[in-house]
Amino acid sequence: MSFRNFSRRSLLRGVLRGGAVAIALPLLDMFLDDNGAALASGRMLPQRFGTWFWGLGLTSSRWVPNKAGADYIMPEELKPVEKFRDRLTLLTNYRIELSGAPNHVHFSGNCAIRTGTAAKMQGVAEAPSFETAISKQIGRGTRFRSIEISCAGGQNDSYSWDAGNVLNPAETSPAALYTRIFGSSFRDPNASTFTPDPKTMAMESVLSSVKDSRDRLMKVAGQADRQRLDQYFTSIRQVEEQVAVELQKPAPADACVRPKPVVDHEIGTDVEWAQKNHKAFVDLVLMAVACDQTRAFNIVYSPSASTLRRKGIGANHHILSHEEAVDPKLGYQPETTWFVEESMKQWAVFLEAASSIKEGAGTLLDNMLVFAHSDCETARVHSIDGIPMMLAGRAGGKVRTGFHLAGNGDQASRVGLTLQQVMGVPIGSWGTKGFETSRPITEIIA
Amino acid sequence: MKALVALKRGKLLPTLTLMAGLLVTGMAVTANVPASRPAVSTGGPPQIRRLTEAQYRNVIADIFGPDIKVEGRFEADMISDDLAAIGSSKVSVTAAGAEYYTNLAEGIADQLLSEERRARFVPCTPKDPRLPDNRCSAKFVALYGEQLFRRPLSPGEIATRVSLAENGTRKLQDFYSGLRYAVVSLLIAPDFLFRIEAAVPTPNGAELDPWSRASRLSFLLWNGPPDAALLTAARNGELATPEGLARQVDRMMASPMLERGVRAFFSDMLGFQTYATLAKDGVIYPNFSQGVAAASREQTLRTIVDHLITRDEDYGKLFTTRRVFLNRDLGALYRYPVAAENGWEAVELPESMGASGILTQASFVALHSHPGRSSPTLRGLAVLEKFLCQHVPPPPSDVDFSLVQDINNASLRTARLRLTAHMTNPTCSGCHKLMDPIGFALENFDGAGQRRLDENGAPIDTSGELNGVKFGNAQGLGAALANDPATARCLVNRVVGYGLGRVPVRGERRWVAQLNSDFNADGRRFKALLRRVATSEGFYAVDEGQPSAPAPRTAQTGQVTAGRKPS
Amino acid sequence: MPITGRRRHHPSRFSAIGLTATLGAVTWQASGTAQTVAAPATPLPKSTLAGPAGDPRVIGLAVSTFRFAHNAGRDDCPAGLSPFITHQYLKTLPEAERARLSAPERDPELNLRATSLPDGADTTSSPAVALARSPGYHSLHQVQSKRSWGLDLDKDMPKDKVCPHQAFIGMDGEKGVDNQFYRAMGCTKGYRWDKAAGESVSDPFDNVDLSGSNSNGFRDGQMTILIEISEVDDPRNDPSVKVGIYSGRNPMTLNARAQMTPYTSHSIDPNPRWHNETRGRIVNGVLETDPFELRLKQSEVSALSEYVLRHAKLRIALNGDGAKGILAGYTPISSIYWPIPATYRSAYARNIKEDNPASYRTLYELADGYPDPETGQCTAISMARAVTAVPAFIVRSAPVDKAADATPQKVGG
Repeated sequence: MSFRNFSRRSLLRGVLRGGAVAIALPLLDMFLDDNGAALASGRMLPQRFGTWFWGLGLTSSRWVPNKAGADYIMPEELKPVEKFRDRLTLLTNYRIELSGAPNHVHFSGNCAIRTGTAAKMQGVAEAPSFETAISKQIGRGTRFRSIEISCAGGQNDSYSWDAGNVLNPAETSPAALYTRIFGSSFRDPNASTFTPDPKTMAMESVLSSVKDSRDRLMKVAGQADRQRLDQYFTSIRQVEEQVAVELQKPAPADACVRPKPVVDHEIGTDVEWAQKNHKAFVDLVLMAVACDQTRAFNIVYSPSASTLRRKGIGANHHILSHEEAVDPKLGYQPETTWFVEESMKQWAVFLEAASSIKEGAGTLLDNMLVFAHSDCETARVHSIDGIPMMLAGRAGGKVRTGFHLAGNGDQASRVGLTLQQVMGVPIGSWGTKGFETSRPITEIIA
Repeated sequence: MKALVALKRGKLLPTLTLMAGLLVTGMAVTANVPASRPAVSTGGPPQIRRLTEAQYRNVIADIFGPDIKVEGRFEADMISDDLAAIGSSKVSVTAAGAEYYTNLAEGIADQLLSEERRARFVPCTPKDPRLPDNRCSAKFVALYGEQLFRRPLSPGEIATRVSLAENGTRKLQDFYSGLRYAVVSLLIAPDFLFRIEAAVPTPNGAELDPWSRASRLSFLLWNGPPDAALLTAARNGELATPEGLARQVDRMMASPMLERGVRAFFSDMLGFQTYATLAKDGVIYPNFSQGVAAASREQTLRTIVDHLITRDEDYGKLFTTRRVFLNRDLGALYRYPVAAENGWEAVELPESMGASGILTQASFVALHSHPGRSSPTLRGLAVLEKFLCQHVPPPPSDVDFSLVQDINNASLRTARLRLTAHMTNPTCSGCHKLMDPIGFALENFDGAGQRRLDENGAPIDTSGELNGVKFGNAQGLGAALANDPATARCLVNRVVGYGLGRVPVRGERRWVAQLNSDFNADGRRFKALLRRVATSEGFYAVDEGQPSAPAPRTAQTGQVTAGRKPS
Repeated sequence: MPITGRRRHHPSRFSAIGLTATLGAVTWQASGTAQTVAAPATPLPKSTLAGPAGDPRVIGLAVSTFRFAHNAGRDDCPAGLSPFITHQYLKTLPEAERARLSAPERDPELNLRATSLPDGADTTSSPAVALARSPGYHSLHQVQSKRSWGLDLDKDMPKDKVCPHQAFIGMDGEKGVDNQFYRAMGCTKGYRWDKAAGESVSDPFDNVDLSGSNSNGFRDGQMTILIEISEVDDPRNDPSVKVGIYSGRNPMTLNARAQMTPYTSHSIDPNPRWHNETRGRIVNGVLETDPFELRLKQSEVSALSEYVLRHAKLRIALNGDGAKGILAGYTPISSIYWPIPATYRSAYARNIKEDNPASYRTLYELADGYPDPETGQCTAISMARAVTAVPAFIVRSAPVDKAADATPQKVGG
């Protein structure tokens, strides 16, 4: 083939199928001027990646489209996102391989999708989640490597692990998130002047100072403690980088408008509160992305085993999913399904917000890639086969969207592998035991 | 007692040997360890524990005073083996966490060095406030460094901060603005954020170094840092002698700070971390306001402190006492008059109200319920896990509950009827038969902790069973729990796990069993248990060969190696 | 007086602060549906009201609604609601000036001019002067319908303590109901419970949440009203019980629904001036008292005043959730009118759109109780309050348990 026709997709296919990947993907960017998105100014837009999580899945009979490809009929439970179908990819019938580990309900599925490894214990991940590899890859030079959000009030409602026992805590207060991103440390990328804060300048050396103790501690700590200390020093380094970023004049960001300060309303599991907070969070996070304060985010609308509840009803979504009888006429659980449908409406809220921010020739959604998924399929029976997964956005042209891809029972880890590769993480295979795979889903890659 | 005698007997010779060693190596002080003690406990690996949020706050308040505000977010504590104290040995600092700690540190530093406060905290005055004064910064860093790191700083550690202050002062042309960076550096250091235990070698193995002993002790009893007297006792070797240790323990147990430590222990044991996300449905339980939630936590902690510390009563009676503390928020929940307008009052509830110690308090029955209804299963599980240290496996993943249970069924009006229907499923019944009958006894208290006699118009049957003992109501459950030997054993295990930051290792079992029999012999007095743990050799023992983090080379103690057998 | 949450959104923010402010028309309610005062549907479980630990012969209640017992019937005000004083004033002006002052941004100027006398004094402070100057200018529409909430107050009053007046038929059909205050003020905006007219409730007993600023008087403890019924042998029928109505000294606590939390303990204000006691009887679950003189502590906005009812009577139905009914009596007009200028002598006074001189005249015209021995002019006017109450524990002395109240450790966990 001629060099002209040497597209990213054919390269990925060719190289990755071979198994051994010697070329780090970012190097490929030099070939990609036809696919990468650029601003009017000619500056390339950064890569962005996010996840959007909701608890307790969808109902199998009501969300899997009748046929694969682009011209499927939008199923009942996905009606709220119909408007965005050309920017969505539905991934159905991918399986979780537990390789002998138990199905820890409401954990094994989402944990495996994120980490590529089956959990041995409830609540304990065995490996880092793949999106942290992506955020490390694409987040260099931004203030926040990633932003984690939980809309129902739980700080630990996060499915982002830097390491097995390092769960990235989620923000639960929109007002606090506002202060963190857009408070006094925020430097407007479009401001004409820039003066580094001398106080911040001095902070840089402070952060370096604590690293003096590293050698002493690492030399003698036990294996597990060494990992923990290593994580601590990595995290301190992260803040150091953040400070370094704050000392440089940020590059202009066309779509960036500093939002108005946010006031907190009630925070908790009441579904109305969660939705109000979800909207506030989505607006903040998307603007943080547009302002290039971060390039990665993880939004949890409702936790796995969703604790969301409606006022006056004793049972929450999770309890309902187990206790409510299937209505013989409808063929599903009506109260439970109300929550399911609300989840998809909130997914639509996210998509609407992301596509309403204009950026370059398209919208913010066009210039990012978002992976939405849940913890199970039909919650009533904790099904971990066919856990709902979707992709939204075009990653600036790096992915194909607008179709339904039936997974034929393939390992769900193929998704994690593909997304890492698309985002430039230099790996050829991912996952462990029965979840190990070196086969990216090439249909997604543009 | 036996352990103490043994320790005394075996102590003389090694002490002399060690003293000689000290002279040779020029060490001023180190641990004092008997060589041939009978192995009451092998000890386990030293721990590296991240300060919990409460501990961080206590440290700042104790060292700098309660007027220094700690404002900002913390990483969530992690529960492991039922305790956040054990989880603290497993967590690290995430990227977001490093940001939180940095912000907290900057906020604290700003306050300490503000114009109003700097005279209080900086023990010297710079010659020229616009220029660096390294002698003055060194004095400041050494003074607070020792308190924050809970050990003396090495010359290198001091020098690092002094140079930070110097550079900062040059950049900002203000001594105090420069010193701020020394403070921040101390407050984000691993040696501050983590309690890094260090061991010293002994002829027979290893032993916690005196500073780590002091911290284990102070965090056990006070949930806070060693105070000046305890640091002095560590420095002069007092903590290494049984008499010196006992003296410190008695002093600390007589301090009002003991209450803070006891509150912290029981908050952890009872899982009060859950309060952070506790919410009740405002339509179903309109009277369970946030004020009631906060009061219910306080109520139980007051009950515990009153019962176990002030009155020094049998731990078992904590599950049966009718003496409770009420404020007006809780009075409304209990429908009981409260004379005190703004504070709390102790009340002996009439028998007719069905109270049975902390089991029937809202901190238990409401915390272990759903937002809109009670749950005999969750309550039964909590009794087993929290008070008996018994674990129930999670429900199987493939059970379809809705097939056996229909909440719309008008004939299943009470939780017992619904759960009994549930128990017809053999996969479920094994575990539910353990949990539900415990919870049934508490069904006279609804999901918000309010007393009720019926549910959906049907009378409530509160008969139940715990480990084979049958009873008719909450008081019966309380008595069964009080009489179960596992209850006392569980508490001993919790105290040990809390103090060590880990589950006891095999070599520590004999020690824990001894503590348990002593606890029972002491009439299950919690204070006596705390004292026995705090003064026991086993609490400070370190298993040789187990890895640990070292103490650095410090100005006072010279070279100290890790907890490994010297090769 | 901002009666309801909705009133806060009235175009002129201060227009509502008029006579009502000092009359103590505080919106304050709790649960319980509005029905007429009749025997409760469910028998009263004594233990519920007294609380399991309470004296079984005592029923404690904390008042959770204390609105004017005013109806808002369709036929009350055939001529419409009473005009604002600004409206009356505009009518006196030449066309061009009227147009100029009608512009919304001229509102402060209009208010000032409409309420000013030639010497600069305000009309509220000098109602007699204002009325003498232009009697036709001050106008208040009176209620024309025949039905009203209230009680028959004068049936046991000496003849010489009453002035001639027209009685209403009660909402339950009771004859001889006295509520001249409603007749006087019932066509004035802010005194009617009329959802169609923009109020947040359509019934004086109606439910609203108490989180708004309108219930401040109750939320800050300045106007907590406690009712204690004691010597109760049978809560359904008891020919003789003791009834105390007291000012409390603790703020009410709101529950998650922003309503008063039942079974809260309340301490009685120690000032004996606000301790009112009488006797009464319970018939089929309805308590009715003998007449008594009522004085309660009252706070309105910033003014501390006193709420006075003479020859007062309480009739409330007791039920499992608390109580609901009517408190009625004669209010001295001076006690309700004069605090207004005292309170609002500042800039507020000039923002009042209510025609206070008109109210002043009408209240005296319709006054039906306690004639001045010299002039024969009645000095007090009959009125009624809609009352709901929730169960409460009433505490006489409040010794704080010092031992139990040791300051908790600041840092617990």
